[in-house]
Formats: sequence, C-alpha cells, structure tokens
Amino acid sequence: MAITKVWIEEGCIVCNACEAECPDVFHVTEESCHIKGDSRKDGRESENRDEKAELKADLQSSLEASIVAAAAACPVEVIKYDQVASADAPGSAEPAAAPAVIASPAPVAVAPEGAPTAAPAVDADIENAVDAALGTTGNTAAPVPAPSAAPRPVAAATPPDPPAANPAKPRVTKVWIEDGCIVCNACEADSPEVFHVTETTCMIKPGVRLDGKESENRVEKNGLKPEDGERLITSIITASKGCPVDVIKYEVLGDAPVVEAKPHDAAEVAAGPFVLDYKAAPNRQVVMPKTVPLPSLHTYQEEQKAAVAADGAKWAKQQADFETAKAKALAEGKDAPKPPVRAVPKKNENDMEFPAPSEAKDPDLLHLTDLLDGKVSQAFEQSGELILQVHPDGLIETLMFCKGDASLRYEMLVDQTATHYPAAEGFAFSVVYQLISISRHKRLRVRVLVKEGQDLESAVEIYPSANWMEREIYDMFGIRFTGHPDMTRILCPEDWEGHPLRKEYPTLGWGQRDIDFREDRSGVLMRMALEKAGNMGINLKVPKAD
Amino acid sequence: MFKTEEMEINLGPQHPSTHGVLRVKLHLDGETVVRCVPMIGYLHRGVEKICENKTFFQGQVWTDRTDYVASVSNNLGWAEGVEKLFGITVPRRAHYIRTMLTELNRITSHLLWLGTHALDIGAMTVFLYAFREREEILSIFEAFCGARLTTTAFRIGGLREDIPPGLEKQVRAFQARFLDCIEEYETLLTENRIWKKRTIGVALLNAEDAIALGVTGPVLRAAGSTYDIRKVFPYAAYAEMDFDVPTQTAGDTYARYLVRLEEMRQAHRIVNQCLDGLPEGPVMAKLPKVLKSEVNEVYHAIEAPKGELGYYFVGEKGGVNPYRMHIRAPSFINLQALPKMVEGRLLADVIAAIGTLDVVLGEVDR
Amino acid sequence: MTPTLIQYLVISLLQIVAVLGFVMTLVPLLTFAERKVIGYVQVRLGATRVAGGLWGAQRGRTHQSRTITGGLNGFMWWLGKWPVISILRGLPMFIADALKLLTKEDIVPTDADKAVFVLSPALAMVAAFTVFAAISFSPGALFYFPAKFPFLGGLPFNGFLTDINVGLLFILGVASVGVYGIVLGAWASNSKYPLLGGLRSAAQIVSYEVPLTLSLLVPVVLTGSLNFNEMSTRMAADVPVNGLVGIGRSLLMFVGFFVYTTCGFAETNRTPFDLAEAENELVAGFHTEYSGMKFSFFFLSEYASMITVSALASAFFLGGHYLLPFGLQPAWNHFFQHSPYAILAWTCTPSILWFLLKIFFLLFVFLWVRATLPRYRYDQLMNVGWKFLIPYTLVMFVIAALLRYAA
Repeated sequence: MAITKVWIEEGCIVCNACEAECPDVFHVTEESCHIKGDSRKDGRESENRDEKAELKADLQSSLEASIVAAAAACPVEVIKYDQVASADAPGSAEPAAAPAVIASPAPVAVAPEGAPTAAPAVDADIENAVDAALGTTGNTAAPVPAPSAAPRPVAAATPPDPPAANPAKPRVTKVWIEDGCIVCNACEADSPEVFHVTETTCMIKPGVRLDGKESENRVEKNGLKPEDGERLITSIITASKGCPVDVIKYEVLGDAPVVEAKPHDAAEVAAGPFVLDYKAAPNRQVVMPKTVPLPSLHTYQEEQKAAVAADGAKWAKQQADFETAKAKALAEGKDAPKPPVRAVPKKNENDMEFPAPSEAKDPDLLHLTDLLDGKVSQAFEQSGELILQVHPDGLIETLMFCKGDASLRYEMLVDQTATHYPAAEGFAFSVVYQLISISRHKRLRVRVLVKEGQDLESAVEIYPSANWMEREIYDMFGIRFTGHPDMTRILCPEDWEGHPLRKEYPTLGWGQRDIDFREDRSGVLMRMALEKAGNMGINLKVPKAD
Repeated sequence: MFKTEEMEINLGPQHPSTHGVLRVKLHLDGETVVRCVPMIGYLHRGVEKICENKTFFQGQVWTDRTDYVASVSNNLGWAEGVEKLFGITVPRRAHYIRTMLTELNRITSHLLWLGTHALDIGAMTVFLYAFREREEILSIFEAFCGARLTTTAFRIGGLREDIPPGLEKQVRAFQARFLDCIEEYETLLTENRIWKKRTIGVALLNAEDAIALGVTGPVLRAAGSTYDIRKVFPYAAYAEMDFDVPTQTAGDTYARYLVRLEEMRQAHRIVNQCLDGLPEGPVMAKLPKVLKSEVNEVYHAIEAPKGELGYYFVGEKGGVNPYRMHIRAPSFINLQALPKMVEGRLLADVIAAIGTLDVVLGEVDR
Repeated sequence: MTPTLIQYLVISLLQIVAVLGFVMTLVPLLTFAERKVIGYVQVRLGATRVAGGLWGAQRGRTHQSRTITGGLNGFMWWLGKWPVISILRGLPMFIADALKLLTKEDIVPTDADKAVFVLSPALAMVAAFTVFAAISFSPGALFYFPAKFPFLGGLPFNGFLTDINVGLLFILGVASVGVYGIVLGAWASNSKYPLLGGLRSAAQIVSYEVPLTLSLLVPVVLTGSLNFNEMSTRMAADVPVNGLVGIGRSLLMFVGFFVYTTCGFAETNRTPFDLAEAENELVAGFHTEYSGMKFSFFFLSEYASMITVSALASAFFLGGHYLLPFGLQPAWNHFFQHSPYAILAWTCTPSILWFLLKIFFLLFVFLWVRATLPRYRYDQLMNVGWKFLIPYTLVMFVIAALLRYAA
C-alpha cells in the first residue's frame, strides 16, 4: 500500500491538526493548509487541489500511516488522498487495480474483511465515480442502463448477495424521499409495502430496507432488499410518478419498466392536509451538544488531576515500551533505541492565557458560604468574577442575604439569564443572577441548576428588576417562576410554540416557510403542486381537522 | 344617566414617537394615564440564538444590529467579553483607540437622543442641529472602518488596522467646534420656559426605585447615584482617563437632559485625552489562528450610552462558537421603569418619558 | 356717482375674485415660505437647495435640459446665482407638495360617519375664508375704473368686500364656527387619536376665544369702533397722543398686542399650542384619518386663519393701513404731515402696503416661533389660558375703559 497523491479540498479551517499528525507533508498557513514542496514531485507548495501532483516516491509508503492519521484527524474532512496497493505489498485483499475499485460501487466501509484501513476520502471518491458511471446523480427519473455494472454488494449485516441469477431483470436498488413531502398519502396508496406516510413526513418501511430502519432514507440512501426491489419495481415507479411534489427518488439497476401514473380519486387516498404548518416542515439543522460546559471548580480540578494522571501514565508507558524495546534490541544484538524524552508542554507564545477557576478567597463568598450553611454547592472565582452556586431551595434565601446583609449589600440585580444543558445529567438548565453592589463596587454571580420541568421561585419580591428578565427566561427556555406577577411570554407572540433558546430548537425548519418565498413569491410552485394533485383527484386543500 | 369609561389606546407599534416598534398599551381616563403596559418583541430577531451558531468573530457583526445607534459600544462590549472569556491581553494602543471611538459613539448616541427627544416635545430645530454634528462623527467612523452605522469596529484581541492617516486631524477638527455646538443646543433648550415646563418634574424616578428596577446609565445618575462602570469597574483605557461622572438629584426628565449634555462634554474631554496620550505600539494581540474556548463563563459589562451593557458568554471546550451568549440590554431593563414613571400622569408625559429613557427597540427586542 | 344694482353686483363679484385670489395665492406661498424659513433656521438642505429631480443631478449638466425635472433643475441652479430671486430655490418641493395633495387617494374610513366626515373640512374651510369678507385690506377705493372702461367706467374698486360697521364681531363670530369643522371631523373619523385631538382642540379654542376677544376689546374701547377702516383712521388721527393718556394708550396696546398674538397662536393651533395635531403624541391629531383634498382643506383653513389673525392684529394693534403701530401714528403725522418731502408726507397717509407688510411680518413670526419653541402640555396650556391670560386681559380691559373715560 502507498499513497500517491494528497490534496486538500475546500473548507479548511486552519486548525493545525494535520500538521501535528504529519508535519512532513502538511504545512498550515494563515489562510489554508499546504502540501509541502519537499514532499511533492513537482516541488511546488500549495493546496495541491487542482494539480493533484504526486508525492515523492520515497515518501509514498513511509508517510502513509501519518497521512491517513492526519486525514482522519481533520475535523472538516477535507484532506483527500489516493491510496493504491503497491506492487510489493502481497496479501492485499483489495482488488489490485484502481478501475476495479471504481467499478465496484461498494462503499469501502463495508468492503470485505481484511481490506486495509479505508479513508472516507476514498469512500467519497468511489461514490462519485459510481454515480458518474451509473449516471444516477440524485435526480433519477430516467432509467439507468448499466447492464455491465457489477452486482451491488451489500452491507455486511445482510446475507451474501445472491449472484444475479437473472441479471437482465431490473430492480430498484435505492428509494429515498427528498425535502418537501406534503404527506398526501398518494405514495402509500400506490405502494403500501414501501411507503409509510406519518403525520409529518413519509418513511421508507423497514421491511424492505437492508438496514431495517424506518426513515426518509434521504441521508443514508440505504438500499432495498434485492428481492423486494425486483418485486416492487412497478409500484415504486408508479408512486414516484404519482407524487404531486416529485420528491420520491429511486435508483434502478437494469431497464426500468415503463409505467403510467395511476389516477387516484379522493376516496382512495386519505387526503392529507396541505397546511403550511411549521411542524410539517422537515426539522433541519439541530446539532445537540454532547458536552456540558458548566464551569466549575470541582470539574476543573478533576480534569486537571486526570490530565496529570494521563500524562504520567503515558510517560510510564513510553518508558516501559523503551525498556522492552531495549531488552529486545539487546537480545537481538542490535543498537539500543534512543531513550524517550518527556514532552514539555508547549510554551504559550500568545497574549492569551486561559483564566482557570480558583478557590474562593473573597470574603463575600466565604461569608455567604457560612451564612447559607449547606445550601451552597460550590463557590469559586474565575476570570476575576465571584461565582456562588446554590441549591434551588436556598435561592431566595441567598438573594435575601445578598441584598439585606449589612456586609454584603448587593442592591441591584442587573441581569438574570439561563443556559440549556441538554447533555447534563441531573439538571437541564443553569440560571444565573448577576448582582452588583453599587455602594461596595462588587459583582457576584449566583447560579442555580434547574431540572427539566422544575419551577424556580421568583425573585421579583426581592429585586423588582427580575420581572421582565424572568419573563424572558420563561419565554426563551420554558422555566417557570412561581410567585411571579405576570408569567407570560415577553418577546415571542403569546401563541408561539417552543422555547427558542433551548438547544433542541432548530435554527431552520420550525417557523420557516415550507416553500422558499424568494422562488415562489407568486405562489407558482404551490399552484403547480395543487394542480397536479387535482389532476390526480387529490384534494390538497382539505383543511386540517383539529 | 351618564357613564364614564376608560379608553384603551395603543401608542405604537406604528407611531411617530415610539422610536421604532414599541407598543405601549395605555388606559386613559380623559388624558390621564391610568395604566401603562409596554408590549415589546416586534423586532425580536433572536440575536442570542444566532450568535450561538456563529464564531466569536462573526457574532460581533450581530451586535451592531442590537443598539444600532451605538454600535461601537456594542462592539466593545462583545470584544472585551470574548477577551475576558479567553484571557486575552490587548495592547495599550488598541485600548486607547477603542476608548476614543466608543466615546465618539457615546456622543452620537446622545445627539440622536437629544434630537428625537426635543422633537417629541415639539422643538424641531435641535433635531437637525444634532444630526448635523452626528454626521461628522459618522464620517469619522467611516474613515476608520468603512461603515457609518454598523461598524464592527474591533477585532478580538485589538484592532484590525491602526487608525488611518488623517483621521486624527478629522477628529481634532470636530473636537474644536463641538463644545460650541453644545452651547447652541443649550441656547435653544436649557433656559427655555416651555422646555422646562415640559421636563421638570416629569417622569420622575428616584434613586431607590431606579436601583430596584435595575435602571442604569444616565437615568440612574440623574436620580443621584454615581454608578458609572467606567469609574467603578474600569475597562479599556478608562482607568487612565481623567473625567467626571455628571450627576443630578432631581430624577426627572430635565435632570436627565442635563446629565446627558454634560456626558457629551466629558466624552469630548476623554476623546481629547485619547488623542493626546495615544501610545505607540501594536494594535493587535498575538493570537492563534483559530480561537477555541475552554469551559468558562463570563459576564462583562461596559457603560454604554444607554446604561449597563453586559455580555454573558459560556464557552465550551474546543468550541469556536459561544455555547451560550446573552446580552444584558440596558434599553430592555430601563423600559421596565416606564409604567412607574407615567402612571397617573398625562398622555404627553408618556412621550416625554419614552424619549427620556432613550430606548432603542433593536436592543430591547434583540 | 352711485352704481346701478347690476354694476354693483359685477364690481362685488370682481372684488370677491380679487380677495379670494389674493388669499388663495398667499396660502400656498405661505407653505412655501414656511419651508424656506424653517429650512434656513434649521439648516435643512432640501428646502433651501432642492432643484428638480434626481435624474438631472445624476446625469450631469449636459442632460439636464432633456427631462422636465432636469430642466427645472438647471433653471433652479441658474436662479441661485441671483441675489434676490435665489429665494425661489426649493420651489419644486412646494410644487410637488401641492401636486401630491391634489392627486392623493381620498380615503374615507369604513366606520366613519361619512356625511359629517366629508362635510367638516368644508365647514372649516368655509369659515376660514368667509372671514375675509369683512377684512378691509385697503381704506376706501383701491383704484377707479377709467372713464372709458365698458360698463364700469368711473366706478371705484374697493380694497375690501363689505365695510361692515360691526366687522370685528362678524369676524369673531364666523371664525369660531371653524372649530366645529375640527371637532366634527375628529368625531366623525371614529378613531381614538382624532377624538383626543378634537377634544383638545375644542377645549383649547373655546378657552382661548375669551382672552382673544377681551384683548381685542382694548383697542375697541380705546377707539370706540368695531369697523376696520374707522379703527385705523381714529387710531391715527382722532385720539390725542399727548400727555399721560396717550402714553398709557400706547403702552396698553403694546402689551395687548402680545397677549393677542399669544391667543392668536392658540386659536390657529400653531406651535407652541399645536396640541390638537401634536404629531408626536396624537399621530396627527384631528386629521389623522384625512387624506388628499380633505386633508388639504384643513391645511388651507389653518393657514387662512393665520392670515386672518395677522390681519386682525395688524388692523387693531399695529396701526392698520398706517405706518406706525400702537397708536403712535398721530405723533408721526404731527411732524411729517406737512413735510416738503413727498415720500415723508406719503407715510402719513393710509395705504394697502403697510397693511400687507404688517401681515407678512406677523406670518413670519408664526414660522419663526414654530422653528424655535417646544410644545406646551395640555394642562399647562389650560393654565396659561384661564389662570394667566383671562385675568390679565380683564385688567387691561378695565384700564382701557379708564383711559377712555379720562380722554
């Protein structure tokens, strides 16, 4: 195996990860990442995107591992490379020649066991090549004549692919549903074995899919079971033709039969609603956070301890490895390897130093900790700010002490807000109260952790300024405050659904119009859809029964 | 035989003097306000949600659009908040230039307030005079960063560029005549009997209520408090500046007018000091190419023209976006005091009170 | 020679056309002047410089004459070169404004009381213009038709329509009908802001009618006449100027003039008393729901009543058709009546010129004040009216009566 070419696609975020993995090949500049001239045959230094120059022969195999590691480490996956089995690498299960790889539409991830590490780059490349070869990029209304193509291999989970006994017999390999389904039930009427129309969208049924999942199949484009693909080809094509918004797509192996769209009458199809309902709009772009970035002294100290321990363990392992290697070398009579050098932490050359949390030393924090015996979870200082985390039960007591205690005198509640931590266990939100003492020129942050659905006590009685801020928190996060004089939404309309600042609230999808109004300003698309549905006897204007 | 009933009237969201899309639901008995309910949210764009999906630099662009008459102040709050989150040290020269631009921005904000507030009360001329001077400062911003209103003036860690040649001359030319301009406004208003009648004792808010309601900025200082973040928790180059915090004790519209006029004079002083004492050196800190945060949360407040402008950031480990960003908008909190100021008073006082609070709806709704 | 009935009717018609023409020209010019005066006070660029459309300005001078707006633009810049007529710069704005008012869509709100809604601007307009019937712009005949003039040869053409001996009474009576236009219009709009504006207007005009009339009574008592011509004539000649009485009379009229002007501002809904249409509080006050020609009727009637108020002040306080105000004319006459210089002797005779100049000056004051002062609050306005102006004018009235008695 060897890597002949390395290049960098668009989208590099100059994160230095590749340079860390493979400094011989990659060089991260201000704007982008380059393939070093030293390692390239043509000696130029650039991203190598257009020219795709080859690597120097002597480096092709020696750097293979590190390039693969760099490509794997790239967070945006823009590092691509050509990997070939080198002539002097026997025992490779990979087909020897590159054309063979292209002819096989199998994603490398599911290639037969024993193949060496395959990178996503190869994966993507092969898929593109397959698409190009089959002529089936996305819009596959046209039948695909590809009789010479090899039979599709299937995922490892399925039984071995039956060798196409009758290769001339066409079958549908994949079916998926694009954006824009109007849940009209036409497809389910045509092909009930494949499609399942739900309240919000249309699914490909698990029974016919290779992976057995039920979804729109849009992203994964999982294949159909071959026997089902053969059996149901007519009904799938009918359903695709019959879709009023043309969102059902499929790929065919072999000659597709010519079928006509079946006319429907309203009675046959349970006419779905055609209401511009945001819930019907596909819910796009929600990336739920996986971490709980709740700053805390405990966590920080634990992390530091763990880091020190890990570092020690690594060092110990390095030493142990060295010892074994040394013993082995001695036994074989070779030169002893170099002893390992313990990595020194990189010197910080930037004007930036992470403000680490430290123990509470401020008298206010200590005083409050004393006053609120046992109700304080933790008190620490970070970035020059005082943070006091209390139990929700002790919140009001804390605020009363902060305002009323003669040595504290935090007169003003300047800000109050919340943060959503969906990945956290035991709580869902942190609510923070920013207090200032105008007379003593001090700031304090009081923090409480709230569970999902748990109400907090309102601070309006103590600090009237909390009135609107608590309403805003309710509006944005759905945390209710008991004892608040007017617990209603403040920024969103009264009938708004959802709480926008929660992490599960999408930035696209909900609230967004189904039809892009820039393109459908005069409602042409909608009228076309209605007309087409009307020709088929589907009444899309049936109002949604509530 | 006869019966009286309260009239419910909507002041806004489309009204000449609600300065944007503020809607105030008023219950009137004749012309006396019985109940006043501000209703907001017409300009809610979800800036906080948007910024969660933008990198630390991109988010600054959105701060221009919250308080759009004081965008430089917003930029400063954002930049310093992020710097606090990362623990970045900014060069001194950058601090000076930032301070100068922010103070010029304070002048533009107060000029806009003065003009529109006077216009609400019926004095038209001040409006145009104030805009004349505001134009000059906007030209200065344009010379500095290419934009007049939505400036995005600063970078995290300092400035993108040093001040261009000729800008100092431009600022000095403006400084030379600005004090006379303030005199001109004062000639029209300060001793004007009708102006005094319309403003003295109107929209009263004493210091105790102001602090309870979280009101900050000139409105608080006109009630007697000396709370000014530039003095109390100095940021940027304010620790090295020599300036006074103007206060009044009356807590009415007239007192706020005097405080803001004096603040413009003090801003003028600070700008002069920044120009005179501008240190040499770099304007940008040394930073990695990609800023990735650690787990930290900060609240950084600056004294914006409207009051305490706070940015609350939560950073996650390795994140290029803030995990959570919250703007403590002074206009939003100050607007809470409106019912307290106007209930039991006349309709015309509502207009004066909205004007004197100096709210910007882009910031109220965010 | 006395005219026959038909001759009389024809001349009257001609006079009506002349007076109406004068007023109808003056009112739009007044809006133009307002734009210009306020433009100069407030460093507004548009009103003092605007010339033609954008196209001309963008394409450069060579293309300016090709379009109408471009040609206008070139003409305006040419005008700007000349010292006096450069005042006409900004004229396109005025023309555009007039065209806009004429062509705007005329909306009647669905829930409005349609008949009253349509009628009330007309009422305001009619009241504002009828007043001019009794105002005498020139004492006696303006000119005589030449003897050879067909049908009307040798007859006088007067500077007034009718010379009523109770002219003042007529004017006050008719002018106060105008408030019905405002109140009814506000009520008929069936909307809250106009309602508030109409109520304010009704209260304000009713309140200020009293001190206005009382302040006008001062010169009336002093001269003993309600007639315009007689008033200025007596003021200039009859009443003795010598002695304490004369000085007291001038002082009283001087003070009375300011009181009257204050009330006049309130009567015409002008700043600082423009509460009825306070745009910052009541959107546009009583005419919020009006648009197009109906709105411009209100607009015109407001400006017409400004002219009326100025004319009354001019006639009753500023000496009317004579040169000097406040009853100082007799002293002037005493010295210059028999002056050898014709021009000085002419200043002692009544003329339409003085009357118009005084009107123009007062109109300028209206605009000047608008550019300078803020607006009163409603309760403050009432306080000024009832607690300050009415007692003040009553005292003045008593003093005037005493002076009259002393004379």
